[in-house]
Amino acid sequence: MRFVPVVAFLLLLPLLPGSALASERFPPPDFETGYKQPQTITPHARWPVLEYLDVFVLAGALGLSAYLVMKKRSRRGIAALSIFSLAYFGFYRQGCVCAIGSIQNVALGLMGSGYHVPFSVVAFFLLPLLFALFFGRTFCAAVCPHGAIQDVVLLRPLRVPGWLEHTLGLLAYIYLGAAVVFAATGSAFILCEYDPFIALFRLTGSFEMVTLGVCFLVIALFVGRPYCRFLCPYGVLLGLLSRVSKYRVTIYPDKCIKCRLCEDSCPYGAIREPTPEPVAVGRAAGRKTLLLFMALLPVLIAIFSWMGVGIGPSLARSNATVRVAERVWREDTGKASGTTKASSAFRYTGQPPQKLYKEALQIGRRFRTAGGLFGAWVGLVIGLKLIALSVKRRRFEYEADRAACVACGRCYPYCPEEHVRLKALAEIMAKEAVT
Amino acid sequence: MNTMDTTTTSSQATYQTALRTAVMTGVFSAVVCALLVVNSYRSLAYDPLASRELKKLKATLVRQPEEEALKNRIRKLDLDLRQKYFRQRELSSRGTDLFLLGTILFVLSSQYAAVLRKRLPLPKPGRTSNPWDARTAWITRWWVGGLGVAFAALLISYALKPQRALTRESLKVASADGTGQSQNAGGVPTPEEWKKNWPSFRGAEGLGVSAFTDVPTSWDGATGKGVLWKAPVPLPGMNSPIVWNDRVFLSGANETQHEVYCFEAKTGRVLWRASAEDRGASQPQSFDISPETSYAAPTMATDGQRVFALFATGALAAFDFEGKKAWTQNLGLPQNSYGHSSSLAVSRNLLFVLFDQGSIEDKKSKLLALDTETGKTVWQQKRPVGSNWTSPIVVETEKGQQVITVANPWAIAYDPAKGEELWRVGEIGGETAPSPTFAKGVAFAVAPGEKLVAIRTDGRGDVSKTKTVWTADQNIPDICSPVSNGDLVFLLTSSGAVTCYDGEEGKKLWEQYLDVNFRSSPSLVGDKLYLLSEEGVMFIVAADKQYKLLGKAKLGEQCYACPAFAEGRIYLRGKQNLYCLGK
Repeated sequence: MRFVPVVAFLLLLPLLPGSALASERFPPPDFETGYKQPQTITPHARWPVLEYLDVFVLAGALGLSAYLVMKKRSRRGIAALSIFSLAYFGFYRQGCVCAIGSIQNVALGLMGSGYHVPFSVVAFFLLPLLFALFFGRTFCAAVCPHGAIQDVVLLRPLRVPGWLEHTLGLLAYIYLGAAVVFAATGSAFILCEYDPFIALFRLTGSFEMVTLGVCFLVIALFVGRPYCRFLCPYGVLLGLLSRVSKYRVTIYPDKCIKCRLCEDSCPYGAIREPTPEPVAVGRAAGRKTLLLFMALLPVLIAIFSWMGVGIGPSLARSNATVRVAERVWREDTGKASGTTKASSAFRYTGQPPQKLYKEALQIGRRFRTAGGLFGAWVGLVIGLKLIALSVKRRRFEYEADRAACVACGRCYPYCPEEHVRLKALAEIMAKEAVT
Repeated sequence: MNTMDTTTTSSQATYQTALRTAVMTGVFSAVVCALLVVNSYRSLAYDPLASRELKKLKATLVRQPEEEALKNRIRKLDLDLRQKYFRQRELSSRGTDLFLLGTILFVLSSQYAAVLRKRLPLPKPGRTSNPWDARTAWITRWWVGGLGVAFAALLISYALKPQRALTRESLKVASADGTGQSQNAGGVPTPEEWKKNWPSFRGAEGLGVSAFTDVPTSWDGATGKGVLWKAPVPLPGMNSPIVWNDRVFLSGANETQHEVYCFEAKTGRVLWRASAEDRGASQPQSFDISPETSYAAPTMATDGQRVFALFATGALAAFDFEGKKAWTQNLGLPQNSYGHSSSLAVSRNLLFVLFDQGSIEDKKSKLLALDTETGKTVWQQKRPVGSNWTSPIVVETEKGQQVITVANPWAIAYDPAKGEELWRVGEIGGETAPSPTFAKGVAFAVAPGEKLVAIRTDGRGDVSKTKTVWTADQNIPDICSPVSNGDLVFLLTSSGAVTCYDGEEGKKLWEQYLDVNFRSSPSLVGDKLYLLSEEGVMFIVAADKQYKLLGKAKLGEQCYACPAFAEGRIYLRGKQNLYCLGK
């Protein structure tokens, strides 16, 4: 019952951002008071050098995280570093710049739309991926503020059934695809718009944003890192690279004695148990299933791609230019009465609507292409997942799943071998101290 | 043994400390949270300007605008309400800081306590707690497949959604029609097209300002010098010509007929002539009409695709450019002693009809915004004014577009999109006939024979005291509308007094008596002022700080309507004919 007050607090959190809601200003008095309205001032831009400081801190934190995970194997160290990251990247830097959001900047920059991706954003995108290529998801372990805030509130983790874990895990891939489509077409940065924790980091935000964040934190009390596991698009990239990383997280320091003590230690369901001895029965059926799904893969890609092209026009409405063009067109053809702020602003520019319409049609065409690619991506992901679920892998010991393990180090203390290592280490250090 | 005991005791003590801290910070946070919730609910529900008392006092002030004690009471109440609101905000801000601090301490201490009470793992013999076998894989495949199907259904539902979006077919962007009539894919003219035409009474915004300066300065109706063509107008009317590209439109009416005429701008040939009567609608009983207004006093308007005509009977009709009737409406016979004469105005897809009538107490006056395509009412606003003969103007201000109207006793501006009242200025008396004008953010309203009021258009509510820049009371017009270039304001009375005021300060700069009568409002063409007398003599005066007559030109026919200006041309409606002047 100890978590009840936390649940209550988190549920009530949405009521707190009174200051944010109060930002809805009301008009000044409609009579002369002698009061002079203060001039609107624009805050100065952040000192450019601090951008490099952020990158330096990120690189340092990643290096330290890799050291704590791989070499030191210190859960306490990892926890302390994640608290630091939460404070620095979360509350001090207010969640921006962020590796998750950087996917969108990079996607937009790669589309050659004339958008220049800032150095720090490129660094935040590449550095964690580079570290993942060598050390696995050490970024998730102790550097990502999103992971850290969920880690902090985790009180009683419940085990998510395997079927649910695998199914929900696909949402992150779909979310990644959607984020890239919207960003690459210059329409929206949905990862930022729907970031669940940014309002908490900034201690301000819309009611919806705060509520979303609190909901995630409430779920995170019982389900370890729900955002990271089921939605984080950057986690998808890190997971893919972690599969081929040079070094990997191991539960044990030297060898697995199959004591099963670590079995329930991972709140994220990332520990895989040794597989039983293979039996010949059903092997042929398994092979058939595998071949069926392999044949199904291109079909799925084609079908989803076709459907993706079809939703292009609907997706295009997320683009501001398309929206205003559509509105102006509806007003001009008598299909809509009155004007909106956007259509009035456009008309105020004095530009001919034809130019706007042409631009909107061009964006629409891009969305059809992007929609097709998005559909193909979804088909590929679902097809590969079905194939992966049909492949039987052999494991001889307890392993941390390379893609799913966020390298939090919670399993380390559960391994008796680890205690032996620490004891031996302590003895060596004691001897060294004597000599 | 002693060491172990000590360790256990120490661990227990730490656990107890962490637990106590968690409890204390938890209780503290809970109390702060409860207070914050109460405060948040109060803040959310609190709108300082929604106070009933404040609204009531403001309403009283509208009736008693000179009551100083009332004004002071409103000011004090307004200040108190605003201060109360900001106190709540301050409380909320401080409380949030305290709550967050308490929550952080609570989470840390409870987590630490949880770590100290961690149970050792006790795996059960036999089956592992997280088995992954062929059956689980089979179930998972079904779930993944289900997710795929659900996602596919979502995509299909979006793909099959009726397309409201822009498509190449719906726009036909690439196919310019070449007629010069349809200005863009949607048909609504661009601002440039709007300005270069003369789509309503006194031009694009109803200001009497020509977009062209290369218009004729001399002609002679008797000899035909400078007259490109002259065409008889079948039925009489006081309304002025409007021009759209190569077409000129007029309306004419008598007791039994209401017609619209389309002239070819190049030759004066009547391209089509159409009756505005709605055969299905009941016709009004015969009624008296003043010869000063006629049955067809309101000037027509066009949106670039259709033309609209209103008659004294309340009959309103729309025609396309080929003369085909698009729609008709009968607004009902207005109660107007001289006959209805407010001209129409258009903005984008809305047609504005100022339909003021009766007395203030009758509460029959209204401003209508109709859909230009269908004639359906988009919005209408009741107006606290009586009968009126002015026309509305639709202008772009720094605060957006406004429909500005003048009547007795209020000059009122509306949001053209929604019809909301934006501002009003009171004490406009008399039989209001001169329409308002606008320049450089200032509207000029005339109380006939009494005063000219310059009003800044960036206000809200009753701005009689706060946004009136200046007033003038000499040589105030009774029929003709004022015209301004922002720096100077020109007035013309029906008895021929021309007066120039400084636009910024309202200082009278000069006055001149022309000793002829005028009905037509003055127009501004670059640095020249065009004044058309009842006898059909155009006085061309320098639009400057000093009076200077630049020239005169005779038409030789009586004129009541305002001229319409086009590139190198002037269209004038005489009592019987329509003239095109140019080289």
